[in-house]
Amino acid sequence: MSLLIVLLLAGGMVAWLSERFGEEMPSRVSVATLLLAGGVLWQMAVEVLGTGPDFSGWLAYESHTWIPRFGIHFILAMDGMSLLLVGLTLLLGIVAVIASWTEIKARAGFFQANLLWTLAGTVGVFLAMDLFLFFLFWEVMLVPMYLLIAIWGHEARAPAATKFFIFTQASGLLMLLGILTTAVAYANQTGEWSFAYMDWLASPLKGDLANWVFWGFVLAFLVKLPAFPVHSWLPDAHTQAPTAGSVILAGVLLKTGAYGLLRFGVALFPENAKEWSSLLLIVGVVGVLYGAVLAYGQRDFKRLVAYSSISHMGFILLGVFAWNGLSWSGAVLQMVAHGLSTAALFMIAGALQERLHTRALADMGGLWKAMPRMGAMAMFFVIASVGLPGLGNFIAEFLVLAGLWQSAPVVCAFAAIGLITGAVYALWMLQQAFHGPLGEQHVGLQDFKSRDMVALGLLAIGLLGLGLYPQPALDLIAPSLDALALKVGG
Amino acid sequence: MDTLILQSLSPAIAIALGVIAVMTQTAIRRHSDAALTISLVSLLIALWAAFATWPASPVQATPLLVVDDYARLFTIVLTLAAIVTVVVSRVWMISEGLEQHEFFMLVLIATFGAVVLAHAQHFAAFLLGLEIMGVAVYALIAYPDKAWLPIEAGLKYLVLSSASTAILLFGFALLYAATGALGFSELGAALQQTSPLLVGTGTLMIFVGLGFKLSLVPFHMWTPDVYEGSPTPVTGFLATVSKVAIFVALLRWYHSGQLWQQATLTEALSWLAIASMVVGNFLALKQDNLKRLLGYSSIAHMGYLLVALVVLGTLGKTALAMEASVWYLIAYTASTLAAFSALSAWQSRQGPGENCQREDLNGMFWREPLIALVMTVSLLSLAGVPLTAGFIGKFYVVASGVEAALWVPLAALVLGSAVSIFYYLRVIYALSISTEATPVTAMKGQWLVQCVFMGLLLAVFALGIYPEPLIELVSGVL
Repeated sequence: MSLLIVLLLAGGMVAWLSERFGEEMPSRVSVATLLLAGGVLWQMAVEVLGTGPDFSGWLAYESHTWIPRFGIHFILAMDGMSLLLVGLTLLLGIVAVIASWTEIKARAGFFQANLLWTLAGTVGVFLAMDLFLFFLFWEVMLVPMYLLIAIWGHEARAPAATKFFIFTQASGLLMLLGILTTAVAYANQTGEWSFAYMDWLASPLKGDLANWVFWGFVLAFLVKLPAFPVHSWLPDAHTQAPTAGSVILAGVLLKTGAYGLLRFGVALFPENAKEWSSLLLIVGVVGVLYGAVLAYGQRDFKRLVAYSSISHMGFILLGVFAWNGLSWSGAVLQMVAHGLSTAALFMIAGALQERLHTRALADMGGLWKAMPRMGAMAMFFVIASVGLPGLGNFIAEFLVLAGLWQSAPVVCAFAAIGLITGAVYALWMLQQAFHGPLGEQHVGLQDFKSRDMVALGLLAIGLLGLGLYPQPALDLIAPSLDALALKVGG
Repeated sequence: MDTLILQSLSPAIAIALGVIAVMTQTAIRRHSDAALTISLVSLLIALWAAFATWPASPVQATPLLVVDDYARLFTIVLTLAAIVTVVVSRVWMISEGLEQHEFFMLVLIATFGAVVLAHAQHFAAFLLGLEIMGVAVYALIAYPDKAWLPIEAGLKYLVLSSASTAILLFGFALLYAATGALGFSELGAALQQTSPLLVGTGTLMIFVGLGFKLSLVPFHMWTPDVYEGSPTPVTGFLATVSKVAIFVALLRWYHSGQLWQQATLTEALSWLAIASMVVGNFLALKQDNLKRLLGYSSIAHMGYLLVALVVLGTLGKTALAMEASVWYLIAYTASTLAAFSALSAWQSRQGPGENCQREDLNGMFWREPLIALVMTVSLLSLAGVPLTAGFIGKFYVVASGVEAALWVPLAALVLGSAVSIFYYLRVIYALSISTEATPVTAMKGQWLVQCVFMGLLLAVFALGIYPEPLIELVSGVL
């Protein structure tokens, strides 16, 4: 597994250096690196899924001593859930590279390097099972992402990038405080330092302190998710980021928050999580509705998609704290499905901006006539994100709502409204951009090339697969969620 | 026995000999490269001597000085910092068109004072080290004698520093009156039986004096002005060597003098720490001049360091808090020195003049990649981003704070760090702004500076990625 991360880091260096051998070289190196990493992951998946989990319950596990003074180990471990999310990360990485193929002309090498390093950090977050290491990756994915937005972003990139960094870093510090509090408590309890996830699971933190620590963790994850009212970095960051940045940000970076909630927030502090679950459910449902309402008010294509993300990520929060197996699997599927559909929408938004030099919906209209391929793709992904049956997002949101109905019917009723409002703004956006009369200045725009179609096609196939036959994905994540349910009594 | 003492003091002696050698050489024939070589050689010999005698059991070299591994470790750190300063300042002096000989000599004298501070176990040695270093630093600050700002800064520092030394001396006198002892450990032993009023007042006055030198809030007023006015390499020296050496001596006094037993002092220190973290970070937000910004941020960093002292006061002598202070000092030295060196190199590349407003840094990334990299990494390290030395330092401080359950100072630390990210990032952003296409000019003919930069980068990253060797070393020292 460390090979995956090393590969991405090294690929970044190579991509940077390859700048001098031609303009397209860095992008090619990136795609090659990601394909190679995908190959390694595939090989590993085939190997471990054939043999089943080892004695510790992990599909794959590796541990090296790192800082013995604090009992810190370099522990990477993979179960079905991480496998799925790492796969998503690599896939969206390829999509992001393709999306920025022609957009990024200045300093393409450094751009691709930052892209790959962000992905390396994200993969690390999904695999790290030592909380020190987890925090390290959590922060490491920030710096290159910051540079992506700050250097290659759009007109108002400086405040957007700074806001993004400060929100995540400040909440990250709270998490660090939480991690250290737990570690010190563990050291006092057992007499030795450890940051290992499995050790902490075995002797959980109790009492008043646990409550504070729980919030330290949860706040960091809620900011990343993002949940209402700590979401305000997201619309700016997504809108100002270059296309590849938006794709990665929406597709995988937000998922680290959701993953963290499930893996650490709930599993390490089950009692506190349960105690606060009704409050967090309310936060979730407010996010769903608030995001949807605000999305409807947007006049900027990317901003609209960004606010719709807040709405869709609210479902994940609901799924996590609805506290049963059904809703948890819904939440995990939502991570994947939302990653696929939003990545595609951001790619389309980026393509529009590259061609029209504007993101304002008012300046669009009738684009289907000029660019039928793009129009068809946009329609597919808009419908997917609305939650049309047969596509991944439907299954995910349905599972979340079904699970939620069992534990909190009232919240469930409100959350279901989110599906309707979602349809309203998404279809409105599609209509504004692609239907109606075509403006004269837009005649003869360049449609998607086959390279772009391949990228979007991959995403579409993923969504169709999840929607029509979700069982393999559910089987993959079931052991992780069963273990969680066993642990916390879901 | 005498040979042993001489041998263990050899690093300090090497530096002192270096001072004399530079002086003699300058008197015979002025040649700046020779002065540079002699200074570097004497510092390298000091470095080698400190390494060669390591590890060894403590040697009482006179009642004033003790040579133990703690002193050796910081001798190495301070000497390395002096080497960096010498190399970086040479380039700066060439671009400003200044005479170089006396500068190197002054750096050596100040370093000698700092090394004495690292060995001090008696107030006499403490004062000697402080003044040797202080007097040299006044001259260093005002070294460019044709410009106004350095003179003003030098004068300001001279007056305030002398005033604070006077307060410090008064404190020593009160402690002596109360206990009849001036050695750190004798003092500690005598503290228990004496009147708390005299001891309390004396300790307080000493901390006020040190508070000036370490620029803790509310004694910080001079910091931004002096940082701004001093030549950049000197600012780097002032921010690292002079503060670190004082803190090293303070730390030794704090634990061998059993100061941690005084609850009032601990309380006062915790408020000083909180005020420094909050005020330093918030005032740094408003700075457009990078040197002033780093000045305020160094106030905040001293606040973080004090948290470790407060932990010592709350829990008694714990290994974690001691290690935390030592680690933080080393990480702070590496990162701050890297930041000032990069700024200084950038300024010398821009020609004579101050050029350290934020907009002067625009586009550094595309014009001077190496300098920009050093700058970025050092700022990230100061901000405490993982994979850098600064993160491990902050990790240590927070861990020790959690152990002592100091929630209020920790809250100030988290708040301060969050704020600090904003102003550090603003600088990093300025580096990345593209300016009119200026061709990338590598630093030609400055291999020495390049080596120093590589070393600083390596130090910041190596300590951040694989801290275990230094952790072991530090815990072996204490």
